[in-house]
Amino acid sequence: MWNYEKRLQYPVNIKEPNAEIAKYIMSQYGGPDGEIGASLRYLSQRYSMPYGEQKALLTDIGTEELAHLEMVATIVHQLTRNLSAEELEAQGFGTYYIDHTAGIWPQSAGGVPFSACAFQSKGDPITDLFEDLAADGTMM
Amino acid sequence: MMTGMNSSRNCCICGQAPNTCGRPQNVCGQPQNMCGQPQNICGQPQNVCSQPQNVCSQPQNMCGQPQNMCGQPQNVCSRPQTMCGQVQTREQLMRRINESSFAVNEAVLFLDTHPDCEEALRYYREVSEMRTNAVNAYQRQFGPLTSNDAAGNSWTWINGKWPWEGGC
Repeated sequence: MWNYEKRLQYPVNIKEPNAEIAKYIMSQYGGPDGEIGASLRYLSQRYSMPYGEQKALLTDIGTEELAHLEMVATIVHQLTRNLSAEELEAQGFGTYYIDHTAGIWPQSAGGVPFSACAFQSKGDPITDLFEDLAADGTMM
Repeated sequence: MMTGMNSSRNCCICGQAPNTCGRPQNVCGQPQNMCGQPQNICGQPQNVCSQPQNVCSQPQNMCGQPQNMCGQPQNVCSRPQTMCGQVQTREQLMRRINESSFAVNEAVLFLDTHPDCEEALRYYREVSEMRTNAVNAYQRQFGPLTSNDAAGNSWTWINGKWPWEGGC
């Protein structure tokens, strides 16, 4: 179960839209090392974790990653809002715009859709922790 | 969560919200905890909540002054947010929520793997109370942060800017 709090973990107020930067930032939303992968990684791995301390930690970190996901999506949204199709195309956003307009959709900067293949969940806590170290080493 | 009109801490003895007797705190001649029990029932002085009730390091009403230091009994004033003559802007209150929430989040992660650390537990309680007070003060003035607090005269959850729109 989750509850929503109507605020960002850290405020985002972008004054100048810039679709070119949005295309790069987007990778942190739905790219191979993005926040959706991070959240699903921890929230999926917790089911095979035998220890209370780590069950709690995986739950709480996986939850916080969702707050990160929202901040990144907000950055992409604010970088692309109120731009015309012509402006978006001129800023290198045309290949995204043709499928999604300025909607938020999880893909990498290179246009690869988000894939669960970006993380692992092996049912073995040691194996999973090593995967966490590779993916998000500064957090664990 | 956090639906109370007053941001003051619950009674440290009985766990109930202050003022449950319907009388303003500190002016009814009753013990401060208002729980219908004598203040010292637990054999401990009033300040067992780790911080003295009226001199906690954070101003209870977010007005930059310690609780009750403005010369008015707590909660008697009908303007809880401005009882000390200062108004917190939406931005100031949200900043306080964000800062205290960050501290709470980090304390939670630390406690997950250090569940018996007394210093961390104290820190968690301190910043958690700070966060609760800030959230309550914000919600009183600027609307709900959770849908639990949205049932007013109408369903206020739908009002205002959403976070991704620059709302908070």
